[in-house]
Amino acid sequence: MPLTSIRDITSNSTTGGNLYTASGTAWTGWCDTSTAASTINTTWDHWSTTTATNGIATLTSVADTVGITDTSSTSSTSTFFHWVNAATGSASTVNNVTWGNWVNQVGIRQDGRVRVEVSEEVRREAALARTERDRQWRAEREEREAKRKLADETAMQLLRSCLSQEQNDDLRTHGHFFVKGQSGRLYRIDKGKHGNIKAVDPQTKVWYESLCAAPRGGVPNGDAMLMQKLMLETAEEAFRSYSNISLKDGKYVRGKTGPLTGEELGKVLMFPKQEQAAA
Amino acid sequence: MNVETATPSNPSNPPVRVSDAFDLPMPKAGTGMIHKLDQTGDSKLIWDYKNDVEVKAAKKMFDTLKKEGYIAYSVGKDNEPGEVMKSFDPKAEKIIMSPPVVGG
Repeated sequence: MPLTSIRDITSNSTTGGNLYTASGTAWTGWCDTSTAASTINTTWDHWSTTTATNGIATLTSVADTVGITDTSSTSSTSTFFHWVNAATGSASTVNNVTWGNWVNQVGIRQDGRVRVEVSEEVRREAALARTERDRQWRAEREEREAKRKLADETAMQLLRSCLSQEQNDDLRTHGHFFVKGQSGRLYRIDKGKHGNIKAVDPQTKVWYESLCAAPRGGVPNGDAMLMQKLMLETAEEAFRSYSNISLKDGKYVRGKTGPLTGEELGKVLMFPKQEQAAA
Repeated sequence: MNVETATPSNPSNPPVRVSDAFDLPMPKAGTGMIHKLDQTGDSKLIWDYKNDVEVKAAKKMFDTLKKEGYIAYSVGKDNEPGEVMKSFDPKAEKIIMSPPVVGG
């Protein structure tokens, strides 16, 4: 806000500034050209007067053109010097450096963005709006979290309802359960969704293959584990062919690309019981 | 999780409450249940074998999901390994329908 900016500059009057006259009145510095004659430090005068040698109206003069284009100019009568040159040459003797005042007092930051001073009322409203946004964001996050938690519990409930007592005990105690595939291989399904299936030695239970395949879409872990169990029990080879398999020695077997759908499974599986029933 | 019946308007077969469904690892005798795995955990559909309208509605859901690539499993009794289902069986007690599988 302009007036706030000017107020800020005024507050710096004790250190000497440029935007006001020798009397230290900022507003005068900006607008009162009547005092400009006695000082070249009056910004408004520099911008507006047609009589001052540094005024905007006289920028076509050789001296001011040099001032604008030549940043090495240390002439305190150069308009551009007043805007940009805060350190070189005779700047130390000139406390009229407008740019310095803008940067230091008004708030043009190093990145070029302007820090705008606002009234207390606007600041309060902004704070309230920010608080409300934060509250909404927290509420939405908590709602999402609650839904996710409920979905996780629902999926685990369904999974447990499809496990044997032994598998349920293993899941509760160790966080995993074992499944025997159609081929006779033994698999350990850990809690998770990706890379959570291990083919293990039936005796030692040490893993030798890690399989990664899961249902498409964002289903909870329990659902993924249930699908993995059902696939290993009913369509093990098809499941393996679509899985990415990591071996213990670091080798990697990439599975088929594209999803394994019910239709695809229908092409590779035999359904003797169902066909018999249908007949 | 969603629970609905194939014919929710049928007064003789009111919708099953979620809490009831949690207490039922298997559907009641004479009914079948489809569990469609999804982001909510699962959505359920229950039908009565003897009710043609409900069976028809359940079959419609089954076929629709199959067309979308879902894989249907019939879960065996006492959690014995079931089988992949090629077509809808109205007498299946518990059907799990999973989205297509992708390598991770």
